[in-house]
Amino acid sequence: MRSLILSAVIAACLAPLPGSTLQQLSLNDLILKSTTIVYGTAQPSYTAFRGSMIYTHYQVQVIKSYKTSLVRFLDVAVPGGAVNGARQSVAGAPVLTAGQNYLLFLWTSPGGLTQVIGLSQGVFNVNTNSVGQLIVSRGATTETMLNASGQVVTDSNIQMTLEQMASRIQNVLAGGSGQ
Amino acid sequence: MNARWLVRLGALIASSFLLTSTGSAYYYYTYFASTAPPYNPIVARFDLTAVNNNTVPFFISGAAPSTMYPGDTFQSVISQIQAAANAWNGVSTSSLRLAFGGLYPTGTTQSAPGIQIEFSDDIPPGLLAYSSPTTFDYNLVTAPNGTFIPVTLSVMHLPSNLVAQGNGASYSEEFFITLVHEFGHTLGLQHTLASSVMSTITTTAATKASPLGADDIAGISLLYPAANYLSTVGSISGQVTMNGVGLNLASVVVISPSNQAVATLTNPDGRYQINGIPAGVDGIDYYVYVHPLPAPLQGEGTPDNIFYPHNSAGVFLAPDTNFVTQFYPNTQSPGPSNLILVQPGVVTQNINFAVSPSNSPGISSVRTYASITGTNNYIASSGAPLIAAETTTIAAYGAGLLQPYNSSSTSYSVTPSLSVNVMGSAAQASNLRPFLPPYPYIAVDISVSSFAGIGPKHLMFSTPGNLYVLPGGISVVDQPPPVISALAPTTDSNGNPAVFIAGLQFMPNTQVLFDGVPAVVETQTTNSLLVTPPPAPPGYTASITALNPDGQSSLFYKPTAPTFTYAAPASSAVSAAGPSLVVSPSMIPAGGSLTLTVQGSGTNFTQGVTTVGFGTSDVLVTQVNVTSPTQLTVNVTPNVTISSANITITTGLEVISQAVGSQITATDTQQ
Repeated sequence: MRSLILSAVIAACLAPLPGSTLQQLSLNDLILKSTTIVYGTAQPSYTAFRGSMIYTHYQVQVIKSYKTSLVRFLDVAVPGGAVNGARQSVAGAPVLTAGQNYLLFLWTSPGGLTQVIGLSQGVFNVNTNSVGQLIVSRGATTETMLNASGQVVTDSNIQMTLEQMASRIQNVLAGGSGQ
Repeated sequence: MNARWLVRLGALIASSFLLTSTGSAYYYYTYFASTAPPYNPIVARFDLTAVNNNTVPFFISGAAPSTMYPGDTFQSVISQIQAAANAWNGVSTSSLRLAFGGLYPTGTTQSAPGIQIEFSDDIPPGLLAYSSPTTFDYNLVTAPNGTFIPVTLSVMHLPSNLVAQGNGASYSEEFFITLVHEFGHTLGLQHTLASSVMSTITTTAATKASPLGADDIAGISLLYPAANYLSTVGSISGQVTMNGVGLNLASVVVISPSNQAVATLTNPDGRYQINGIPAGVDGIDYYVYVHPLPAPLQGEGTPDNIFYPHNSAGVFLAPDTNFVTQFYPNTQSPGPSNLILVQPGVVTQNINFAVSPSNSPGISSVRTYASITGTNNYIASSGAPLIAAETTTIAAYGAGLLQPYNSSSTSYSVTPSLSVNVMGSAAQASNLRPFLPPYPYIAVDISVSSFAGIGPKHLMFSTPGNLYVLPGGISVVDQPPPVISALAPTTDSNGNPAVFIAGLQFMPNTQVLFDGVPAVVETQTTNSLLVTPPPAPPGYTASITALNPDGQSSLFYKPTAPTFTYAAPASSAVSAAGPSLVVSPSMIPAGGSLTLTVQGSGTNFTQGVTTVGFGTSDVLVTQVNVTSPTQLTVNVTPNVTISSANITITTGLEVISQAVGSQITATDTQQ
């Protein structure tokens, strides 16, 4: 039986084929690869063409910035939407609710378009718990996730206080592991 | 009369023809023109009456990727895009065809339907590609096969920096599967849970050698049915309810131990109809089960990243997910008595489910891996190919397979009472255990019967009260994947240039790709191939892959493909100048048709191989006639005035594209 012989070899080689759409990012990836990280409130959206692509633009009122942003309002674009009856459907694109607070990991393209990193991966809800703490959470996920290299991403189901998240961001940006 | 026949008779067999307006299989971009039952899905698709010969053109941005993998070229990327399109063109039961219409300059607009493929700097990290069909709200078209929403333009977005985004080399399994998947979206297909190419990364079993599954084939064939298709396949229909209430977007799957899964999602009232089920001549027995959409994975905005259907009130209709997977009729342990006969041209009705609420999240989104033996090395791959009559360990990860890991844990533990089984008698699973730490997988040994028959087999993961089925969780093969060990230029028996390929495990129908273009296999043994390479520019270097019909490729064993370099140009003058084109006449009127003559320099035009396009659906190419390796004529029909255009001519791996500018400026004589 080959199974016992192969086990150790498999362990060293396990790696998923990269996805057809998404590459999963760890929290550290989100922190490092984003160009802007803000805690803010989503405002009503509008839609517009950019070339042949429709984007839904959310104005986000920045409450606090954790990486680079110095502005009070940010224009965050999400692919897909409807303009004058023309509709583009992008599966997995996040929908921000006006009035809801979010922690957003954003990325600005060379062409100046600011988007959520990793489609929906950079969107975290921020809510107040029963003792008044601001809690950062990302929606239901599986218990274990792998990144593009087949390594375990243990923080996919994230829930922590905003204060803890801020500390994590600060630590990672300072060169620490954040753990 | 045994129980199996009772089940068969319990289902009303209606001999109506398929594809009524009450439902369709797989999942599409769906709209309901009402807010109450009956729900008749109206889906988005291309209007084939608005294109030439049922052919939807696709155009590739002339702005090449800014960064590609070492060895890759824009030509190699283009060839893989064409190969991905050809995967869909190979579906004989679909009337839709895709054709490369050339490179387009930035800013090109077009009025006729088509697909644009762009390399964008706007794609953020964590996103490999996405596609967006464009439709117009309430623009409904009624056709003999039903009402639909026409797609006017689909755009496939790929990153400009293919390296930073981790898309894989152009010849890689992952890049190709991404392209095939994204083409599916551009044509109107959404994600499914049948482990086909339209499944997400987590559960897809698609490979470069076998990219399309039964669900993909049915999905595209129902959207664009070829003549008589519907009479060759079967259907089932029914309703999924919980406490008497219909469930929206429940996933209903037909499957059998020896047939791939075909699935659909229910309408808001729980009703469904799965069409396009392979039914053979006399019918095929299938199990039918229903399961909830899994919780959104990291990065998914919705379960399985489904773009929800919306109704006439503009409301997007979210799925009902809090129920337990169930086989028809009302069991989690399907046996022979649960099989349902699906017959060609017949709708088997009243396959209804009354499901129970779920008390726990259960198991979902499982992905499997198996070791691959080539010569002396091993790699892991998706789809878990297992050799018949052997016992092999597979690994799997997914939600609910392991107990939660916390700081006090020293190792992973398998979820209590978890069991893993293979559907049918093709294989036995044993020795379930956690995988070697620190990897969060389970391991299980799979003993494949020598009578299993090659092809996908299905895994069932059970815990008390819960069940998860992974279609195509393993794939039985007769031998390890093909291996390319060496290749060299040579000549064939006629003295023509050829390439000799040495290796292992080649099969009679092994296909050899030079980048994305197939070579002609002249002779084949288990250990060698003699092929005629496709045309390419002198000095061109192509990556070589071998694809076996069992779904395995040489990339399973060596993910880095060997390369072959074509002979250098005969003269340095040709090399320096490169091939070029002169097109005449220089003016063509819109609304008419004209024959253009293209004179090439350093070209290798070949009848039946060479394609010509102008980068826009507004200049229709109706015929290409090659008169010599350096001359061809092309019949074109410009629809509207165009301000600028490219002419792109491809011959194998040779891609020549240049702006025609004022050479071909369509003049609208109507004005």
